[in-house]
Amino acid sequence: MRGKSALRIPAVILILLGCAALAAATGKQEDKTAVKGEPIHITGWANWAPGPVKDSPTFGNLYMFQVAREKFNITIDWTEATGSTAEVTTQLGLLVASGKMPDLIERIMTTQIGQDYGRQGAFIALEDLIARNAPVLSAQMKANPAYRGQTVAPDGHIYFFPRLLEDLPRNFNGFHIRQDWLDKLGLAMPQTMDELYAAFKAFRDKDPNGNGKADEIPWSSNPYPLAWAFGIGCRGSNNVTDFFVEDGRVKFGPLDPRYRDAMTLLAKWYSEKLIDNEYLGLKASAFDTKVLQDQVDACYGSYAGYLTKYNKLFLQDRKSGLFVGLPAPAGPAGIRSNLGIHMELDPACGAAITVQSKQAAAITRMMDYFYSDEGRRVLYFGKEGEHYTMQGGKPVYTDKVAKHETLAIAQYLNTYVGYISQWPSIVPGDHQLSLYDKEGKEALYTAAKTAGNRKIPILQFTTAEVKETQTLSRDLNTYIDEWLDGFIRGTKPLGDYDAFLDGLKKLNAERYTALHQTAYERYLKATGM
Amino acid sequence: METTGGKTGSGRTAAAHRPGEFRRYLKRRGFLLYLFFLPVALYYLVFHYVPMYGVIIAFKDFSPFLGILRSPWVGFEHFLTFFRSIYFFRLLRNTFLISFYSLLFGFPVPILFALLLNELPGRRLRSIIQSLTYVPHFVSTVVVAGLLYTFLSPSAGFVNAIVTGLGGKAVDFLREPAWFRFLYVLSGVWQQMGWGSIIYVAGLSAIDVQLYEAADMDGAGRLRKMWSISLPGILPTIVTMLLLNLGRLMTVGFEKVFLLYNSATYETADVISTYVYRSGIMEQQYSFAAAVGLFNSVVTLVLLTGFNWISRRMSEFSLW
Repeated sequence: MRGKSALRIPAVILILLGCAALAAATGKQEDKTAVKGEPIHITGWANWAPGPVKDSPTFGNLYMFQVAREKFNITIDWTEATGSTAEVTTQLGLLVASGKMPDLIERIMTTQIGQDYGRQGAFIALEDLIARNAPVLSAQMKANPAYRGQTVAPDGHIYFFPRLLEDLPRNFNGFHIRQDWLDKLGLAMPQTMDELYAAFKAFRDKDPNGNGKADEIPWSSNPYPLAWAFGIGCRGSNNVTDFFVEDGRVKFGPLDPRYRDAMTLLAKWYSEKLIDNEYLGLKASAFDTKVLQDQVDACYGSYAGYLTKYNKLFLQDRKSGLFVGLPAPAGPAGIRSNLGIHMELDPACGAAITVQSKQAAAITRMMDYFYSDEGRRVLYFGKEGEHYTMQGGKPVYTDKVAKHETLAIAQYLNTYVGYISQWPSIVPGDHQLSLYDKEGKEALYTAAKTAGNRKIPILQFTTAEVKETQTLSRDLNTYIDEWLDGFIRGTKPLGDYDAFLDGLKKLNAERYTALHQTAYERYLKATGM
Repeated sequence: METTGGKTGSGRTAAAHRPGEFRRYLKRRGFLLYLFFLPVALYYLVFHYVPMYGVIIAFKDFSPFLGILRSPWVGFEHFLTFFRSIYFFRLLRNTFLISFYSLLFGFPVPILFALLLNELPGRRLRSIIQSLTYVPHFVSTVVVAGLLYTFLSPSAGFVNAIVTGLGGKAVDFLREPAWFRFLYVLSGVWQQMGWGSIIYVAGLSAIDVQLYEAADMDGAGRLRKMWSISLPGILPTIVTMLLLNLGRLMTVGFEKVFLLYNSATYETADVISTYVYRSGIMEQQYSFAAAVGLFNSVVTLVLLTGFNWISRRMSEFSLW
């Protein structure tokens, strides 16, 4: 299995690089004309905080902006906003309401807010500018209908430069399992829910950690991702809704008959102590303790934040104890589904040009550069020789970046090189891979193959629709939270399932679904399908 | 403008002899006092009264882009959606009960504690005990919640180790709706007992020692003195504190509930502020959040005015 995937990936990367290079080549001619022009000074507003180091530069002095200055003759005078997301969102609202906006807004906070302000007349509609000045982004949108579909507002315009993701970085989140314990008990990697059930029972009863106590917890962390194998939507890690896509339609998990099967199974596993009976309200520190005390056999989370982190900690103290990626287990209908992945569009980012800007074309050219292969190299890897070196045709971070005494790679890049956490671009797989250990990299490839395509895309709503969905979701979310955990923990008997369904109807779950279906149909139209 | 203390002192003795100058001196002093008051008045004006016009967003569809004044009016729509929520009465009940129990059990404890402290012989011992009981007040709510989760865990907590050690069945305290209010109130009492007693200790130390000496001569015992001298001595403080606390009946600390609750305990733990947090602020529903907040304030105002009225009728104490 491993050999196969290792062969496949370079091919995928080559194709992607090829696409990007082709697009970049066409983009370059535009660049040269820009450099000849007058120096351009613009103002910008960014949600960025200096790194936790003494010599952190200001935002405008990041390496990426030095390159932008050289290539496009653009100097940006940035105002940096920091604080919690809610605070910065309020600051953005005040900025827009003040009527004195800078040329460029680096973060629109959510794509919904971005297109709301756009339709209200604060931001420029970008589609013509992109068609004329952004050949790379245009080509990418054409090649990937999902990129376009999720970026277009309900009125058909594009109001922000999207932050997009390649396939590998989308699959950052997934299932983990202890390979050493599978080996110890002579079990093959579970591929289905039935095999997982058998493995979990073995974990529970056969004392794989060898301490003579029955303290193993086959599944810790939230159990909701296990419901996805039934092909339905269910809230869970990095998945806030219960919607899913099947047969070209949006469906609401709790209204689907398979939801009941999923609840039945989870309740059974919970009562048999295969699922952590303390998952509810489990604090991160308590979870860490369980993992490091060799109690957790399987869980769900990000490959950087869980798998790679824990493996590093395991290897510090001892020689054994390794998490590997568990392929999304196939459910009763043979469906593999991972709804905790990212979609092709990052809904929390995006940059907009305000209507007060007179440099829209020049800004668009600069923005386009960071979608190109060359620009992405600058953004995510920095300067060759200083931040990375080429090894076997692939960029590898230098020790200056990879082994900084206080900053992790991503932090280092955000502080000195490029704003990788938010800047509109296409998150490249080779950068994402550099964040993982060997097991993490393999897990990413496995996850990419077993994620399925049931996750609902990022939908853009009209103002009236937003208001209605927000009102409906208020009670629905609390209601589903209570019943979902009630079913799993056995405090609400499955015999009451009809009462649960009645409640959903009373709370207008059908109308809630219909609103999403409308937005989904607009999405399909925007993708050109 | 007198610049040195010496001059002021001599001015005062001189003024005392001439009534006209004395009055002028007082006037000047009064003016100075008002000057001292000015920053406080300004603070309340700028930070508490001026922003109040913002509550009009409770009756509007607020969009930051349009601003407070230009956002369209919608009347009582946000209030009505809140009243129509299937969780409205549960939220109201939980909010009221959690504060009510906190008051019922949390209010008398610092008074009793202060009375007991007052009976302790020796200043040193008293101040040591007092300082020790302050400490929990300075522990952050996040840490208190962490401690509760650790101590009460059914698998690893020491409380359940004792319960099972004594032959009982482990209780999942933090995931049982029936336990939530008890734990909330108990941890609150533990945290605030020492701190809350400061004001009463201060009140007790202001009581004239002669009263106790006179009672001693009349042959009064400790309890008698406590009942007839100490308690009446701090009664005005108690009533004022009680009224102030009653005014806060509908405001439950958001943070602590948020850190301790989960969907298994929503039944008894979900309060207005947590509900609004989950559904409002997260998605920029400022108007809805403002409407619920305003409703909460109106209920508080009614309660406070009512209790103050009752207190004035039944005793001579009142806030105004």
